[in-house]
Amino acid sequence: MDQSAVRNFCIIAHIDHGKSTLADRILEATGAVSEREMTEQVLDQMDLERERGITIKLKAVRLEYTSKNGAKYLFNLIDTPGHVDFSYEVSRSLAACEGALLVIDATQGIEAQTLATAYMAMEHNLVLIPVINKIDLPSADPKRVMQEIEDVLGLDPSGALLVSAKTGQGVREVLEAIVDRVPPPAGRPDGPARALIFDSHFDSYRGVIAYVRVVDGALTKGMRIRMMATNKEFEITELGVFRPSMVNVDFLGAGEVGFIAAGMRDVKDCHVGDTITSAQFPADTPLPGYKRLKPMVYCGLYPSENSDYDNLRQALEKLQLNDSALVFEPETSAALGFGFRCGFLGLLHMEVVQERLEREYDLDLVTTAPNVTYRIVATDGSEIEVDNPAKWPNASRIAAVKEPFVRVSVITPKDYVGAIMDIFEEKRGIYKEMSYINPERVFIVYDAPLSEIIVDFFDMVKSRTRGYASVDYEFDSYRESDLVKLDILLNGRPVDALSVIIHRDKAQAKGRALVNKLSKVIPRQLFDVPIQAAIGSRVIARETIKAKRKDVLAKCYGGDVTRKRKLLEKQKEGKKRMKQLGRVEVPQDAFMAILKVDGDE
Amino acid sequence: MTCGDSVDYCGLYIHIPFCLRKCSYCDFASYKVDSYDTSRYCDAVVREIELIFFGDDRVCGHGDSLFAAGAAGLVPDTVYIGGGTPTVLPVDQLAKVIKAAKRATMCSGRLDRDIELTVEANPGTLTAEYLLTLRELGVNRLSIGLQSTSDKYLSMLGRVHSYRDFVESYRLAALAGFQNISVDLIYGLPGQSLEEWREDLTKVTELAIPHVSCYSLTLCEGTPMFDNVTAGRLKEPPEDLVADMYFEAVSTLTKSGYSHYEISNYALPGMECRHNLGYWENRYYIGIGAAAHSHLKGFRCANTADVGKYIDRIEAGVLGPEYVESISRRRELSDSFILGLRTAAGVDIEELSRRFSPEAVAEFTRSIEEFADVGLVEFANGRVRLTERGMILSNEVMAKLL
Repeated sequence: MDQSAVRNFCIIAHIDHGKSTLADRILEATGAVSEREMTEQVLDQMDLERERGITIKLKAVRLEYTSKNGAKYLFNLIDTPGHVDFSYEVSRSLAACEGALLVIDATQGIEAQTLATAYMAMEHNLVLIPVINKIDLPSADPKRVMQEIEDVLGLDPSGALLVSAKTGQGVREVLEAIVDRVPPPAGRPDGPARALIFDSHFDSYRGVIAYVRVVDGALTKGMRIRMMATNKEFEITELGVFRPSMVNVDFLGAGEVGFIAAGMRDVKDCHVGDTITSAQFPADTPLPGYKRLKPMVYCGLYPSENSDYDNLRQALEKLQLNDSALVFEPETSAALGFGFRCGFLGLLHMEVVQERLEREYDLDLVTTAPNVTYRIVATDGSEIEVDNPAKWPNASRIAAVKEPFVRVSVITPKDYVGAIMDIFEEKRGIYKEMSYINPERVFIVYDAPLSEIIVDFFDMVKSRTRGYASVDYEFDSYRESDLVKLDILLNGRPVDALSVIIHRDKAQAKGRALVNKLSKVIPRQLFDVPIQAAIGSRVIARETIKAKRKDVLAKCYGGDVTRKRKLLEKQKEGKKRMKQLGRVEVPQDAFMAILKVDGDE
Repeated sequence: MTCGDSVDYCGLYIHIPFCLRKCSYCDFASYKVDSYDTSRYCDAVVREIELIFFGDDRVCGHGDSLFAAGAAGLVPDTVYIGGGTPTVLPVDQLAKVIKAAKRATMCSGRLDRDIELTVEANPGTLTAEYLLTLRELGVNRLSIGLQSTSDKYLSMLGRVHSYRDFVESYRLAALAGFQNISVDLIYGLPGQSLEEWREDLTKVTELAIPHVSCYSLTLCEGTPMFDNVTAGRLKEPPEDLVADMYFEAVSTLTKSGYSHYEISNYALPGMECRHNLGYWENRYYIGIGAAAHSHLKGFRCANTADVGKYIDRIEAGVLGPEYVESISRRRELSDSFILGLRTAAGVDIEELSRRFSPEAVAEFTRSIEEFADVGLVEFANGRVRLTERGMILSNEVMAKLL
């Protein structure tokens, strides 16, 4: 098809504003999916996505559309994740598009992620089409939302479309707007081939499947290609498009979106962000890639059973094939044995990975509390990065400690401004600015340490604003902070996996809360177990778990030994799920206790 | 009984699964007595005894039934008629059962043993005539379900009797000539204080009852009491209080001359229950009646708990336990440890080493050595035993011995 008839676009939105429902309607309206096939939210395939109502992996779908003027068009709809953790993946899909539908809930208005993703789309020079969704709801207020579009985003509100993705109202107009307003791809069809890899997944039969946006030239079946970053060459064995199932084609021309398979057995052969060119007639320069995003949050992942170590490694490797943001390296904990230090884009990303490991790979995991990467300036002037509290240097060797700060944007009804400010106060936030989006809603910006944001910040915002405030954040800079390492001693022995890095002013309270929490989650043992919190050699909090007093089966009814054995077997099974630290048996969730201590007080 | 000359003494348990009504904590096989034909049940019990001890299989010693093979050569020297409440039966029905049991004890043709013959009874079901009849039939031990000396807790437990009823039954039993009498007590009841439990202990020691079982309350799913606790209507007593009650029982009863000879059992000198000791010494026993369990050579088994099904089977002349579990040598040894450690005497390591192998026994003893450091087990004189504290934490130790 002629390049002028191609439209590449994505849908961006704040979570729950109706992105997936609109995508479903578009798929239906273009006949890509029959209504019979239409399970709700076709693009969100993973169980986890469906359960949590979020989109994690982006997908691309090719659609055919005949416009009102009778002309045929080829749409490529590239789905994007809707959560702040995955903004990196959003930026990747933006790079493959010329336009974006900016979906805004008519009852909610602009939220923090609406802003963040809209700005990101503008940076990529995408044409933005504002779509005001959910206009069928009684509380919809499209006029107010249009005012916000003008005031906050600086976009012409007259171009906004009024839609109900639920009822289908206005969807036809969306499709026409895509035809009229999204520009066709601008690449050179006759130039040397250049295609951007914007995502990939691993197929155990075909190897790496690269999702590509052809910018210049064309890709054809059997063509020898070269990866411009690695200079590795392959032959395209398969070429196709998503409709939304994979359909093979012989040719992908400039401006088109699809997938290729080329016998790439190693995921490292196919960097997301790399440019594919022809081996025979290579292009001179690659397309602008993406800067590789560094993980923001780290935690230790350990198999409950040491024998599962290899299974965990294999599962992580497999997940990494489809999730380039996940990083991991082996580490050893005195308490937990052999495991991995894993890096994630954010807390949700971490939870999603943990859940997938447990659900899809049937692994039983012990997870340590998440932490950020610190930069430590040593007394000799050298600087090291520490992503694991267990590797914290001795205090005498530390000249200064820097921690990552993020810029946090909050949009909230004005009644909750005080509540939001209180939260930032607790979270060591630094006030930056505040402005009124409209007389009812306020835009607030703070800088805050990432370490504070990853521990129940989102839950606090949600509960103290009854869910009305929205949050987005982005990395800002490393800044010096007065941080100390808080150790937990169990029965007199430090437990490396329980150490946390904390601001000196908060150490006392945290130590007390943590010790108290642990004394509740660790069951009574056969002897008294002291739990202490210490900074260096100074103990700042202490509790004792009193020895267990009773655990007995009083009676064997009429010689029913079998039943008694079964009860003992059950008890033995329960113990298996505990980690043995010295002589103390610790349940696995104790290692996550740190995450929950603030909420309990 | 003529085949072979080796005789193994065993226990004979007979289950009478009937009660006036079911107690609120009970999850054992027992049913309301007025909805069953107890006479037919007793006839079935008698028939089962005859099939086992005097059936064709038994006489020839090489019958094809698994049960007959497992029971070959076993001769009961203790009989325990439990329930349920055996004494809800009309005395003539219970008499038939007792007579059949006594015949079973005579099947070897030897006379070298006294037979211990226990009947469980509940206060409120006992009359002087009934007791005299039992005595005349040769019953020499009574186990009375007292449970509490406080009417408040008796009613919480769903018992049909008062404490006064018990005192009367106990008096009548003594008058009828019973010297070996046991009572059951339950502690750790919802709301029960340490003071109230002391009161229970004081009353039984004042009466100098020869044998006392003190069970801590076990809440079993499916019982009304469990539901009441789950729903918050009753409060489960705290672990520390229940432990205090256990130690209170140990000290009060041992001061009064009782020996604490098993986790839940106390006896004045010479009054230990031989039948129950048989369980703990991992000896063989044959269970008769619905839901009764047996431990035979190489396996454990249990009859169906369904009274109707049980009667039908036996009337058809079929000895077919519903549940059979073969016991490997390793399992036999494991059971010997788990059961033996319940007793104050503990386990005789040397004797077990002779019967099994020193290596196998050492593997088990090694696995519990760590508990010596925390004062739960003691190794001495070729034996291993639980300490008083070890007894109330016995699950911890036993879970290592599976």
